[in-house]
Amino acid sequence: MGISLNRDETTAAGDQQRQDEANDLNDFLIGLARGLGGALLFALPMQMTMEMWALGFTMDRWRLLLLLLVTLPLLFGIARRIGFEKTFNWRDGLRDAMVAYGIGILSSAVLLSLFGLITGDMAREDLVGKIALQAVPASIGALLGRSQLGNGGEDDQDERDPAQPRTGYGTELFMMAVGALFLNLNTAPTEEMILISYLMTPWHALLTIFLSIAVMHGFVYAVSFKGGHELSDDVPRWHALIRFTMPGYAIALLISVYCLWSFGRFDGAQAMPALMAVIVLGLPGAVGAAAARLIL
Amino acid sequence: MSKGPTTETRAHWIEWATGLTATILVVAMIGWVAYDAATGTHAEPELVVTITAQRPAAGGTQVSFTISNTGKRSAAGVPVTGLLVRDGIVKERREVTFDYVPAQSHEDGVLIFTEDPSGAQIDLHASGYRDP
Repeated sequence: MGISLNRDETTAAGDQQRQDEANDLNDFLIGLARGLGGALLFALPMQMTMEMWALGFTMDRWRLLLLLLVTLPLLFGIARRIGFEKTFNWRDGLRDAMVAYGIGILSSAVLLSLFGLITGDMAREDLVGKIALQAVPASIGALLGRSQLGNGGEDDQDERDPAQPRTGYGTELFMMAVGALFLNLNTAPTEEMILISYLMTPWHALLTIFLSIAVMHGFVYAVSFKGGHELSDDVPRWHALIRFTMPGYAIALLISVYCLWSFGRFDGAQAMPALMAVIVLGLPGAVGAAAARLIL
Repeated sequence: MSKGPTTETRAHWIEWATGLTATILVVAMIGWVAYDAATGTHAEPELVVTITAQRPAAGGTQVSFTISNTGKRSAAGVPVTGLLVRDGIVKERREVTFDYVPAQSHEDGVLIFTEDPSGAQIDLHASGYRDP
């Protein structure tokens, strides 16, 4: 910005533009690095999970395709939520989403190669499936990394803008879905999820349901975390329970159903054992959903 | 004082509609599980093996089967043994193990016999299980 006054207007403007472009490029590269960090942070546990490797090959191709397609509007929605909302436009959102997806695919390919899990001579279906499946959580991580790994500069100012004290209801539900999906993607592929559901009796399941709801509600309202939502004094507690926590839990359950179905955990199971698995997976989903309301 | 967004008293009707729908869903689910808890006697796994198909393939004949568990308890490490019996003599014995056969569910599997099973009897059964 330090432009001396004795230059003429056009040179000053040119300097300004070059400076802006350099800043933009710099911001973009920092964004990429943060995205890469986020992809690593969020996706490494899954890249090091045996069931995820197997799913790359065994997962039904149509269900994998659906998951990959569902990821697109999801990334777009996250980009919209955590980007600069005031200046948000479709082009930027789409660009951010695609860059995140690209980072997800590349980082997954690199890490899986590093672990010796993918090699040049393996079946193409297996290779593509493994990378594609890992790219989903990695791309979500890349987007979250961009917003959360920052040092609290301009992003935070925008987020805490007093002019926008209340996020939209739809956005709130969407972010809960993202949080639930994220933790579910971590846990749903593992054999432990269904094993727990086999070990549980219906009584355990009932307790799990109540615990999930309590944790969700407590996480956001009772425990005053940073970013926690406080109730106005004249709002009865049950208002927030019905309007936010219950829909949030229902969303977590639906996401559980989707994940378990995607990974073929329902195949051959009747309603009751399937429901038990959904309730088990609903617990991490509920925690993820509640955390998303706080963090994002 | 306020650390984050506050929840306002006046909410759009759609928030209440969503909230009530979700509540009904969750309550229905609790009711279902509670009903199951109240009526469910914790019986043992009931394992039944049925042959679904036989087809010649490379390396012998593939005998497809379904193992179903009609009980309310899951079984783990279930070996399914297949015997090819001709004229009262066991000619071949094949086995495959299922990690899990969950309660009220079924799993599919295949045993491969090298001998031609035509004119012979194939006997498939679950040889045992352990608790998960």
